[in-house]
Amino acid sequence: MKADNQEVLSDVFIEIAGKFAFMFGEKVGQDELPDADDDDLIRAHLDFKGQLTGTLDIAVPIMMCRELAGNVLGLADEELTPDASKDAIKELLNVTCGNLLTALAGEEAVFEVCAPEAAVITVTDWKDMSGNEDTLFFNVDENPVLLRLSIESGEDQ
Amino acid sequence: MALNILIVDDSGTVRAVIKKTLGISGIPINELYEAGNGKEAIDVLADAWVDLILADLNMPIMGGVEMIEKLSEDGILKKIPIIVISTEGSQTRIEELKSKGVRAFIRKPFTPEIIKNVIEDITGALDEG
Repeated sequence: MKADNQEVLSDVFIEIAGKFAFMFGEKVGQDELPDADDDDLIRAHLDFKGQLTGTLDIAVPIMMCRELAGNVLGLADEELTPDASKDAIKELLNVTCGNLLTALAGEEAVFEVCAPEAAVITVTDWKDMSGNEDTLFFNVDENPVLLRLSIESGEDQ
Repeated sequence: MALNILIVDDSGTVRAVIKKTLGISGIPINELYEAGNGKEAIDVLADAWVDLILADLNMPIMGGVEMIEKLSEDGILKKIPIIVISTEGSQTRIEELKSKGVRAFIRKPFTPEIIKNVIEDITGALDEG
């Protein structure tokens, strides 16, 4: 991923984490990432196409999803439904993507953004994503977050 | 005038946030209906009178654009004002939607103040009309 796209992605995600999820995020190096080895983990994914075509993925501990859902809905943890956490991380990814594509391509570009999907992942999956050169690392309220933008076409070479 | 409002979004979290935001905003609400996609919304509209539709665009089964187009084909349903609430940022797409009858566009993430102001503008225009 181009360095300027990384910077845009980082700025947009931190802004959306604050405005949508009321969570404080900062980009960190992989060696500064909070530990995730003992956590249950989840990854959300979506595809987009248009002037730019590609994918956006986010991976977080499931506990962070519960915190996210609680913040967004204004509910205590015990009040959350089983689907609320997964729904919340999908929506965080969705809102991040919409704002990201405008930041990258401008307000005139039209995109088709597919509905996000989310699934539990293993520590191995987490490590694989961590090893991808396009993956960015964030500390969001002391939670580890992996974020990866992959542009398959439309990006200037 | 207390409103019957239909919220159309495939995310249960977003529907809950919009409901909560409407409550905070002070907009007078009579009934709140929910639908997870455009097809469910049309099914709701077959049985209930709605004063205002708040709709997302990117939804499975039937998306917001297709729903808006279908509503525009019905002599009665086309009169219901629609506010799109979406991550969409394209001015081209927004202008296209407005040409299909969408009254306003709110971009996610939104605040209660934004929703309140937009709904008041729309419903104020309804009261005058």
